Amino acid sequence: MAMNPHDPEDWQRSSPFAIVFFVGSAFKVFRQILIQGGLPVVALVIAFWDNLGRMNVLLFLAAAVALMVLAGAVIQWACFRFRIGEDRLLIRKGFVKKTRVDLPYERTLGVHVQRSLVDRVIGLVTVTLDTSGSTQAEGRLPSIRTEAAHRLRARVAAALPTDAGPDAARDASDAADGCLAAPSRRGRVLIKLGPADMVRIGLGSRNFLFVAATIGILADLLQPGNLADPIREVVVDNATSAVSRLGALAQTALATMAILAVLTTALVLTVAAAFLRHHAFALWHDGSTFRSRSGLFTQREVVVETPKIQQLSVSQDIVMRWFKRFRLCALPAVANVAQGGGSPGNLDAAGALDIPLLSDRAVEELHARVFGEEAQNIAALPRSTAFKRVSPYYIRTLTLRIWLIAGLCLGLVSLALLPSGGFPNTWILIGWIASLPVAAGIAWQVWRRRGYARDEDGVATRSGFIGSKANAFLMRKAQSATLKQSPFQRRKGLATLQVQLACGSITVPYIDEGAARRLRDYILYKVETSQRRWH
Amino acid sequence: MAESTPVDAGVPDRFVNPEVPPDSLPDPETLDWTPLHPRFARRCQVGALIPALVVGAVVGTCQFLFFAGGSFMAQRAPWLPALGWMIVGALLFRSLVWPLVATPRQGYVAREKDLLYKSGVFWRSVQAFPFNRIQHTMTDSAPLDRRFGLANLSVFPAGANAGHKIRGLGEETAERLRAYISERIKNEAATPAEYGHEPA
Repeated sequence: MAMNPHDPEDWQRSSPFAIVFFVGSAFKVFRQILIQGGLPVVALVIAFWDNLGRMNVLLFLAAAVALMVLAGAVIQWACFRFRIGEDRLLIRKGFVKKTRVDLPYERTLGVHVQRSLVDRVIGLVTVTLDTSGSTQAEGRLPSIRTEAAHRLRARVAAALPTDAGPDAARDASDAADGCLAAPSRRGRVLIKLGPADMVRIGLGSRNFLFVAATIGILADLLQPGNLADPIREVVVDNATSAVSRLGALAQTALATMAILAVLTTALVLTVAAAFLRHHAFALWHDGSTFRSRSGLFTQREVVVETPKIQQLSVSQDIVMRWFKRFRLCALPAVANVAQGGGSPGNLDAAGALDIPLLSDRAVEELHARVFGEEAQNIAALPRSTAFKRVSPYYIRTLTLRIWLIAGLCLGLVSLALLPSGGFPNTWILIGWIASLPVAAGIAWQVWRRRGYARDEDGVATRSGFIGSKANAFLMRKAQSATLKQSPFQRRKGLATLQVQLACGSITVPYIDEGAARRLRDYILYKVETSQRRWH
Repeated sequence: MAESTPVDAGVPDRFVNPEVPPDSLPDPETLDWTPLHPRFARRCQVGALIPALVVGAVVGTCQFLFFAGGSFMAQRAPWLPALGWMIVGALLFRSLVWPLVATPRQGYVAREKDLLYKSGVFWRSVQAFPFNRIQHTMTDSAPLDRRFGLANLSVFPAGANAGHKIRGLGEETAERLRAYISERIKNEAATPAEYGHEPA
């Protein structure tokens, strides 16, 4: 149990409570093995299924696995040592495969502090160093003492080059020292969110409909025939039932009540989730760092250096629009971007500064603070008039794409129904043809939201279907650029420009070929002549 | 909400950034694209032929095992072997013809500041990798590549986990290109201007 309080420079061990964390990671490894070798397990279960007596064997196996996971976690903890050096963090871990991690403070993108409920009760913290170019979990110190976290943060803050020189570094280290203790020393408070904002976040949550649907299904399962039938009536054929069967007024009222109950429960749940995650959200800004902290039980603290922010995403969906509020996400470079460009606005990316609710003025101010003197004329808000539309030919391509995917799905459905001879194929064909206007409508709506804007230093794009989202980045922070052309685009003199950033990629589809080429060349010029660090 | 403060990411006074008329920028489309190694098309043919032959062997075995003389499968789905052989035929055709079409349309060009790579027959793309954003480079070659004296070059900008691979370079070309890019990366990193001390 030696935490070795005598010499802080020496190798240290994390608290035994970190075993909880290692159980989690050992379980993840085991789960991966399970997924990879899932077939034999499934075969085993099926083999034992009809003979319930032998289920005991299975239970025994499960217990053995749990024990193994626990033992693995204890060994992992016992082998885990870290050392907060002068200019680098050293980690030794592993029992069978010994690993030594060497993380120079200069290479870190940020320090994240997380306190789970257990951590908070005991007074420990979990610190993660975000590094560029390595897998993310490398620099994680689970359940270490607050003093060690303070020292680590001070060292990192001192090592990070700041424009204002040693003074700023000292301030930053002071701030780092104080950040777990004295809130007054974390720089200026930019945003604070109260309980009313939590309700708004809950209302605007994308999970709301999902949760409502889940509750509806659950209620359906719990009370078959009682609750679900009226719902089905109202949802599926409300028009026919309301018109033709006026006598069923009481039934309709019941259904409405049931739906209201479901929606209220969903609302309560999503608001509770918002409280859980974003309770007492606060954003500080001092010199060159943004720091946010929130959470009811597990407190999350995210620290991001301003120069390391690669992209700003401002999104607004329909409920947020009603509240005249936005959500902003500042994405630093991350190592584990999904291959294939994926979603640049993966809002749950670890290390991203996520501000769940803020006004348009706050968005503009944050834009100014993040981008500094550069890209001051770039459109920050999704509804800005600076956005130029992309070519209307985009609608055609998108319509065809949606329509063909729908056709593929319908074709699979008709294939599945083929043996039972259930559904006549002509109807499916008619349905598919009839879906063309719907596809066109969707494509038109998507096209309406699509847009791009640029100034001398930055590019902004807008996308969305029901809500809308604006992504902005500085050209000099681009990593690579790709110009794509389909045969159709070549015929119409159009092109799609894709700019890869260190946090994902951003696409500007269907713009004039010449404009795309010029923009690409200008971005390359900006990157190649830039003498400033991109992270 | 606090009023906005002066800029954080300070731009030094000596940093000058003259505007450039977009029309005067160099145009990559008029570049001399270096084609891939002439043996690369042959290598792709062989590489695609192997899976096609494997599929063919599987289809042949299945037909021999399950569709011999009026078996259950032969009565239920007599068209299945024909479909299988059609797929095999398509694979064979693709493996022989497609590389001849695709490889001449791939090419690269190394410039002073970046590396360009173009590819695609119908859906064409031109990728540009500025040297001062490349983190590291890698060359690799599978046994089949070595058989044809070829190698692949990968460049890794930040954020691209798997890197971007340029396939089908000659072994020597790949090595020279890798050395050139590494040299360029070092040069860019050695510029003492990371925080804005612009060289004169």
